[in-house]
Formats: sequence, C-alpha cells, structure tokens
Amino acid sequence: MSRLLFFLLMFCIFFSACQDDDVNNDPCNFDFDQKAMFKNMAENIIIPNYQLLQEKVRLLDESAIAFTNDPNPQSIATLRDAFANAYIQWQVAAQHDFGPAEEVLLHNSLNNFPTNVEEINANLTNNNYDFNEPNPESYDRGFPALDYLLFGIATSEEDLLAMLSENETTNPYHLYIKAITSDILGRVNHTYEAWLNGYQTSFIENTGTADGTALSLIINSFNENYEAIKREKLGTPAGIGSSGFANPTKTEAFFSGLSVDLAVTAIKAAENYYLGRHGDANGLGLDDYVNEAKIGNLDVTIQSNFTEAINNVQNLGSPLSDFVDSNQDEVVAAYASANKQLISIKTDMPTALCVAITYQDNISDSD
Amino acid sequence: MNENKLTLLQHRFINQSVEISPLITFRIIFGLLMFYGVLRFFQKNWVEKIYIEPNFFFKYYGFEWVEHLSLNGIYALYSIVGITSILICIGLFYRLACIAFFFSFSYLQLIDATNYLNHYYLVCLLAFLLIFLPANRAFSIDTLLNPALKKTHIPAWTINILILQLTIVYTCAGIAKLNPDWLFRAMPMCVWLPEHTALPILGYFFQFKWVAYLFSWIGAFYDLTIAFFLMLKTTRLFAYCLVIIFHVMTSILFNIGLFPMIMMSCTLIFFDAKVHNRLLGLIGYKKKDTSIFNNSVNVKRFLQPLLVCFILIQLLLPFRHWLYPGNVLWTEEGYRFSWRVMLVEKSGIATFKIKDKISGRTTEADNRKYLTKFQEKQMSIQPDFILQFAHFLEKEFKSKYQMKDPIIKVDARVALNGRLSKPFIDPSVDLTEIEDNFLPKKWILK
Repeated sequence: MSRLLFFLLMFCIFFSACQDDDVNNDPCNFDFDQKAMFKNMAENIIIPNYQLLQEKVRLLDESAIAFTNDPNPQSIATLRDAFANAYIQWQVAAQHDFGPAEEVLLHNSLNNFPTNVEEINANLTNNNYDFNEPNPESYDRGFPALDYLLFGIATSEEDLLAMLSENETTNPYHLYIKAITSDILGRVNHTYEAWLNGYQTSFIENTGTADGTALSLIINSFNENYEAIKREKLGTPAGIGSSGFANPTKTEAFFSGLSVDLAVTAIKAAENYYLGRHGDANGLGLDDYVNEAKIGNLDVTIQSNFTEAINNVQNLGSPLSDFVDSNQDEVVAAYASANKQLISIKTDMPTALCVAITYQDNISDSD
Repeated sequence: MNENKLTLLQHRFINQSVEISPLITFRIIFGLLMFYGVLRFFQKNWVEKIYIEPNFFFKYYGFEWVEHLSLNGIYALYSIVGITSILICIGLFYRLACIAFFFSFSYLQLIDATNYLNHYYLVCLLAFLLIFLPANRAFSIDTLLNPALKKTHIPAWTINILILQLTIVYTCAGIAKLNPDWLFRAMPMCVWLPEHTALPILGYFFQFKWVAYLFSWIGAFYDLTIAFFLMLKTTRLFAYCLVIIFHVMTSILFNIGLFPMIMMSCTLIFFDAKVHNRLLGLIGYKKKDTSIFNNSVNVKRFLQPLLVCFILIQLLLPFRHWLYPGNVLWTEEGYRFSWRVMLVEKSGIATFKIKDKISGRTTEADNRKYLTKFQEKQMSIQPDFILQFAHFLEKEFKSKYQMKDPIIKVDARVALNGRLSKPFIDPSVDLTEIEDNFLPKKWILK
C-alpha cells in the first residue's frame, strides 16, 4: 500500500515536472545592498530633482508676481520662460510620486491634462476657485492651466498680450496665475522639505520587499509614471484609444507646444532613475539590482527599450499637436516603443527582483 | 474484500450510532465564524469595493445569469448570511437557516468570480453538507421548542462526511504542492517570506533561501499527511497542535483572512465525542444518560445518491487538470475548486485591440475604464477572464461605438513564479469568435 502511494507521488511530481522548461532554477537568491541604492537614489537623484524643481517653481512664482505688478511684453516673456523651465523640471521629479509628494497630491495638482478650459473660464468668471480643496479629478490647475493662461486664452499673440496686460489691478487672469504658481510652490516646498526633514532617512532605512517598503514605492511610482508617459503623452494624441483618430488637442502642453520636450525629458529622467545615474556618475540603481538577480537579459532589454523610446520620441516634430496630424504613424511608433518598455518594467522587473505585485491594490484576502 | 468485511466497514463508517456532540461543536463554531466573517467584511468596507465599485463582473462558467445587485441588495444578502449564521449557531430553524445561508452566501460568491477564494468555496460546501446533517438535534433552540427532535446519537456518516471533506481539502492541497516550482525552486515562498523580515525573531530567518525551501517542504508534507495523523487516535492531539501552529503561522504571514480560523475550528471534528462532551460542557451542555437513537436521521433513500455524487465530485474535480495539456499553474484550466492554495506569484499585462472590420481602424482598450485595479490584475492572468472581457468589449464597442463587427485580439504576457514574462494568449486569435467551454483552450500559448 505504502509503495503504491510512493509511486503515485512520484508520478505526480514527474507528471508536472516534464512540462517545465528552461528557467532560472534559483530565483530570488541574491544579496543586494538595498540601502546603498536607496541612498544613491535619495541623495543624488530624488532630492536634487526636487531641489531644482523648487528653484524653478520659486522663479516661476516670482516671475508671476513681477508680471502682475508690471505686465509688459518683457515680463510676460520672462514668466513664460520660467513656466517652460519649471514644467520641464517637473517631468524629472514626477516619477517620485510617493511619500511627501503623495501627501500633497503633487502629481494630480501639478499636471492633470488635458486642460479643462471650460472649468478654468468658469473659475475666472466666478472668481471662485480653491486649490487647497484636494480634488484629484480637477483639470483646472497646475502647469496645464498655466499653459492655457499664458499661451491659449487668445488666438493671436497680440490679443493674448493685451488680455494679460489690461486692467492691471483686477485682471482675473493675474489672480488666477498667481494662485496657481503659489499653489505649485507650496506643494513643492512641502515635498522637498519633508524629504530633507526626516523622510530621506526613513526612506533609506525602509528595506525589504513588502508592500510599502522603499523598493515597492520606487517600482510602483516608476511604473505609474511610465504608464502615464505612454498613455497620456503619446497614446492619447496618437489616437490609440480612439480608433486611430488623432487627438491633437489632448497633447500635454497643447497651447505652448512644449509636448515633445516634456516627453523626452520624462523618458530620459526615467532612464537616469533606473540606472542610478546623476550627471556623469553612475551610482547604484535598479539596473544593478536587476543584474544581481541574473535573470535572462532583462537589464539589456530595458536599456535598449529606453534608447529606442528616446530616439523615437526625440524624432517627433514640435509642436506635437501639429505633427500628429501629418505624421501620426511616427507618434504611434513612439507609443509602441514606450509600451514595450512597460512589459519589462511592470511585469519582468518586479518578478526578477522578487517583489510580489501587491501595488495593484489587493482589496480582499488571498489564498 | 469479502462481503462480511464490507458490511463491517459500512457499519463502522456509515451506520454505526455515535454520540452527537462533535456535530454540535461544529455547528456552533461554524455559525459563530461565519457571523464574524460578515462583521469583518462590513468593517473592512469591502461591500462597496467588491460589489459596487466595478461596472463589470466576471462570471463562473454556467453562472452568467447571476445578476449583480444594488448596494441595498448586497447588504440585504449579507444580512441574511449574518442572521442565518447566528441561527445555525444557536440551532433555531436550523435546516431553513442552512438552506438560506447556503444560497445567499453562494450567490454573493457567484456575482464576481474575480474574488474566488478556496476557503469561500469550502464554506459553500460545508454549508451544503450542513443542510443534510442533524446538527440541531441536541443543545439547540429547535430541541427546546420541540423536544421530540432530541437525539443523543446519530449515524456515523454525518460526522465522517465532514471529516472526509476536510481530508480532501488538505490532501489535494498537498498533492498540488508536489510541483517542481514549489519543491525545487521554493516558489512562491522565496518571494513571499522575505516580505516579513520585519517580524520579531522569525523574520530574521526569512532572508535565507533555505528557509523558503524548508517552509515549502514542510507545507507540502503537512498538507499531505495531517488529515491522517488527525484520524489516528495516538497522534491526534499532537497533530492538532501542529494544526494550530501551522495555521497561526500562515495567518501571520499571509493575507488569507478567515481560512486559518476555519481550518483550526473545523478540524475539531476529528476528535471523538468525549472531548466534545467536555468542551461543550464548558458552555452548559449535558450528556444525556438515556440514549435516544432513531433511525429517522439515517441516510434517507433519496439522499444516498446525492451524497455519493457529492463525494465523487469532490474526489475527481481537483484532478481534472490532468485532462488538459500544459501546466495548470500557467493555463489555469482546472485551477479553481481544486484546493490549489498559495501556489503562484503571477502577474501580467493584457492589451486588447479592437478592429473595426469595415473601416479597418483599430482601437486599444483602456482596461482601467472598465475594471478595477484588482479585477485587471486577475483578468490578465486568467484565460477565461480574458475571454469574458473580450466579449464584454465586443458588446461595448457594438453598442457604444456602433461598430458592426469588431475583431478583438489581445497581446497578453504573463510572468509566472519568478520567470520572465512570456506571451500568454495567441495574438492572432479573434476572441469574439471563441466561446468558452470545457475543451482545452488552444489559444493559450504553452
């Protein structure tokens, strides 16, 4: 009887064993210095990213005040420059959307697009808007709103300058612009200062692979950000979700036409973050972690995906809203290259690093 | 085996009259546990998240007709589950309560297959069995109201069928663990255990790979043998201690809800009546001196084939995956209702492309528009869900976007147990042309 049972067991094992194929037979067996990577990321990437962002949004806020005090072509030009610089720097910092940034809804407050022009116009008419009310569904604030106010409220440049310049003391545009820039500044200040005052330390110490550890925060926000790059910056304009009908008006920074620069900056920032690279130095990053896991050529794939995506997006013409009308296929190709990367970083990378995919919000029990 | 022996066996396991107390304990604890389960469900606000938030619900094969209910409907159904749990516990309107519990609990599970859990399935099965068991024939309100119902002894099958059910659960879970990923790669234990390195004392060990192997092998051995050690009188107490240790451990380590409590309390049924008499004595149960045994609670004629079928299904269903080609962990054909617990760490991405045959234009669906994050996660790794969702998209695009004849294909990739992702579904197959059935799904890439 017991011999029969033994054979039955062996049979079961081999029955399933013979269906297996070549795999990494020793998964999750690696020793990686997480703390060193978190330290490099915090000290050399995340905090400097926020520091620079704070500088740029402070300049933006100052330029907004200077402009409203004395609207003239020069001060408007300065404000627009400050806007472009801050918006570009935001692309670099957007991927750290956890901890302090999450507390102040940084991403949703700074860059929900496409701009809801009707809502902004209503806000302007009623002179009624409160950005302190947390509303992640609002598309009337942050950079996209500035994009509209500084570049889109009139069709011709002269009209626009006239609108922004007139009626200096009670011009509703002035109040709205200042409200936005100070809102942005406030949230960025909070985030940056929180990182300096304690969060940095707890972040570096927060080792492990469970939900809520620094690693899962990094991977989660990294993926969410890349997903937004793919879908919002490229996919929607290219008409991916609309039967191939392009949506030029739904591009990021539609009015200023910065779209392509913003997208390239965002992907390059993701690449640097992944590599742990800052300036010319290449510190410990996710690439080193992935290589430690010794699983296929994952790191090579991810790196070449980055290169491909950057090339494809760089080659898009500016402004994207015009370009997508004439060269839609190229935008679709850029989308496809971003999409390809998502498989590697969202499915393969967590698998390689032996992180359970819990970031997708497990509500119920499992078994 | 000669006829004599067979009759002896039949007598011993089926007809022999035994004391009722194990069944009483089972009834009381089952009722209490289920009541606690309902409270826990409310307290975690899962009703809204699971039943109200989604716009689309995945169905079990053959149960596509199950309608999802309004918020009030769900609360009403859960209230029925809660009230009948108490009725079962105190043994009032017992049979009616069991029937109502079984149907309302099962209906709630059938609404969205996304939330399939083996232990909810087990609850359904136990509730079904309780309908036919005389668990209210002593120490119950029913017997207070109608003393004629009172019994001190019942036929052995009424207890043994529960023992058999639990034995099937454990043993099948053990057999399912005899796969190379579990045994020789310690998967998914080596992903899950290191998540708990923060635990005092034990946590320290979870960083070592050999601990994951140890847990895997002990887990498999435990599942394969525990029921048999519980059956033997000499090892029973020791085995029950292991049950406690094992399930307390799993409840600390894994997010498995009621399961540990269900198993720890249900396995009490393995103990003989003496233990239960003493246990129930603590809450006022008195063993009657005069035995009342009545064959009316013996297996009724119409019940016999029903219960035999039930047992046969329970014995065969967990092994139906042998009828399908490929690895069940990958294809998930025959995965559910088979006591496959904690076997996979799986993630995937499924991108649906909807092509209008007439205009030739293609749209990519935004899954998040229709599914919750949890549903999307479950959908992307289960072929029948992928098919259901494709059919949903077909309807959606026909009605909302006036597409006459959409072609729907999917780019799906899945990473299983620490391997890099691989293509999961044949990307050239038009899913609108495929109907779900029990035949092997040829469109799953092996």
